[in-house]
Amino acid sequence: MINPVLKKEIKTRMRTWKTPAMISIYVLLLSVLVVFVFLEAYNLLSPYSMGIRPSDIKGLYYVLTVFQMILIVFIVPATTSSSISGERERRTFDLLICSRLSSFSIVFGKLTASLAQILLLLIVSLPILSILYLFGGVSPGNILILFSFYIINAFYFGSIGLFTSAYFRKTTTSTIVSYLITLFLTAGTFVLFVFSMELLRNTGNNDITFFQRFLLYLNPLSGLSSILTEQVGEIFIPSQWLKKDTWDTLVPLYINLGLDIVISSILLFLVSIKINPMGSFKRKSKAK
Amino acid sequence: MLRIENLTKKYGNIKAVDNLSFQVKEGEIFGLVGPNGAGKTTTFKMIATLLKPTSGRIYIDDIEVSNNLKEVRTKIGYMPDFFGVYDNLKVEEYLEFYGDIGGVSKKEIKDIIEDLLHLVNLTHKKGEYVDSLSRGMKQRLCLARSLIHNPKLLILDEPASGLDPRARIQMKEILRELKSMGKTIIISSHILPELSELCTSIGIMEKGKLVISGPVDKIMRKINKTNIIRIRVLDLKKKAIKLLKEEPNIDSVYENDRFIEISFNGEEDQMVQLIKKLINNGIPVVSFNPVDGNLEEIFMKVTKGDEE
Ligand SMILES: Nc1ncnc2c1ncn2[C@@H]1O[C@H](COP(=O)(O)OP(=O)(O)O)[C@@H](O)[C@H]1O
Ligand SMILES: [Mg+2]
Repeated sequence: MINPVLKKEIKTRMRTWKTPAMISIYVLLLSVLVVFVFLEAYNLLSPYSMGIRPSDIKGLYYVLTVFQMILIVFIVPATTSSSISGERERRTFDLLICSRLSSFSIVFGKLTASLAQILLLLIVSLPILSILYLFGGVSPGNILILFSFYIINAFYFGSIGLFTSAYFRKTTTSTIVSYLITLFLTAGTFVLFVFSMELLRNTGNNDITFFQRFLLYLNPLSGLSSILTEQVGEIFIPSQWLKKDTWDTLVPLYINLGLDIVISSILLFLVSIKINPMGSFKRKSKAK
Repeated sequence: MLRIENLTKKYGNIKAVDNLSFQVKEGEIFGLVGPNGAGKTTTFKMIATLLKPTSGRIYIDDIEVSNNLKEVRTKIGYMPDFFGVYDNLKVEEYLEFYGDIGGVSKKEIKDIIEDLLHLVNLTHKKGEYVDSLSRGMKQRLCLARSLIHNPKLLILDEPASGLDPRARIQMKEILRELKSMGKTIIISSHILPELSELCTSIGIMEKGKLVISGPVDKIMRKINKTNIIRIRVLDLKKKAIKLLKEEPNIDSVYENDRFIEISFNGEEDQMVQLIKKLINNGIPVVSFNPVDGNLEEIFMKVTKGDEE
């Protein structure tokens, strides 16, 4: 049976103007990007057009992929960071809690509703990505792996949004904090890494430590970089930053995904505890 | 059906609910009356499994609440004092959702919704968006919602508060209908007369404590008759107290170094007899005056029905 919270969330969300607006903007942004790259490739502004080359397709795939990743990472907290605090604010949460639904089902319903939204965005982006397929250079398998990676990251950032929405009373606070965390995980870890490299260089030591790499493994771009290196060749995060030379290309991806799943699970567990007013983990009744 | 034992809830140093005990039998309608801040909502929230008691126990159908949440939650229908509704959801879908999370089967849900909408007079609003309904309609819808999984115990926290007189009457009629259906209900209000006709028993609460409770007719009689009387004597205090304690119409006798206080529940001519008796026994009575206090005070607050 489909989770009742998920069912209701999808129904009510599809009725707002926000969902179609979000989808339209998403498709629009991706299309603009594609058109722009094509214009570049065909060099329509100059008379010496060369036509599409495979390297253009790879470049386009690369740009689209990173762009889509960033969109997802910043859309998910927007919807999840209000999921619990929003119900508290509108005073519907108590009615949810005193039903037969377990805390876990509530959390699961809220999270999957957000994932469903992302899935929708991915599906509407398929026609655009399939253009790349038509020109060759990108296989359906590539896209499948990419989408799985996106979904796991939606799960990761969704858990963060849920966590802040459970632990902060106000939706505004929750949203701000979840975006700060998102920003830290995407840009912050990167900056810290580069900064620590500088420090290291000054001491004359050139070995990157595991701790430094760990910062990058928290960043979804490390996983994405791994995937793109495997699929279309080396791009934005230098391999030697992410892994030892002896490691397989995909090892950073596995570590990144493993971390995502572990951190998400811990966060969701904490959310389940937090929203249960009877606190089954501090149930010890006081002796009289 | 419902048994509460020494229930206490503290917020910091404030005892919102203080060592509360009472029982509600199957088919009874128990009214909890008290001024704002008495602790009614806090009590109901604990019964509805939404708040963890600081100490004490709650049993529903002899099942201890805190260790059997899931089971207990199927047995209760809760209507909070303040609640909200979802945007973009129609009346029928709203009930379907709560039916869904209340474990109502797909086969039955349509019929149940029909019946409930009929009960709360909202059949004609079935296809409308919930947030477009008036306050009174939302309140009735919320009542229907709390009934959707056919709970054994209904917990209604001030269901008629904030409604205009007409909506109030409509709500009361629905409650009377529920009563005739034999539902067990606990209901709260800060206005005593509002509950006295509906309830089978009543508890009066103030500052987290149950001041009195019992069958409604008994409570009403007692409230109407009880007087707190303050007596001052020049001498022979011991003897006076002994005499007072013998009186059948006196429930309690309290003394301090300035006066004696009794709660007296007799008629006025019996009061005259009491004064005579004291004087005839040589007690030097200086003053004998009924005071506004305790029960009476509470009763006044409760009956005035002051709305904030
Ligand atoms: N969350 C809370 N934190 C602190 N104090 C509270 C809280 N909820 C209620 N109280 C206090 O507990 C007392 C009882 O409140 P309440 O149960 O709402 O009374 P009633 O429903 O009878 O008006 C009040 O003094 C109120 O200020
Ligand atoms: Mg209240």
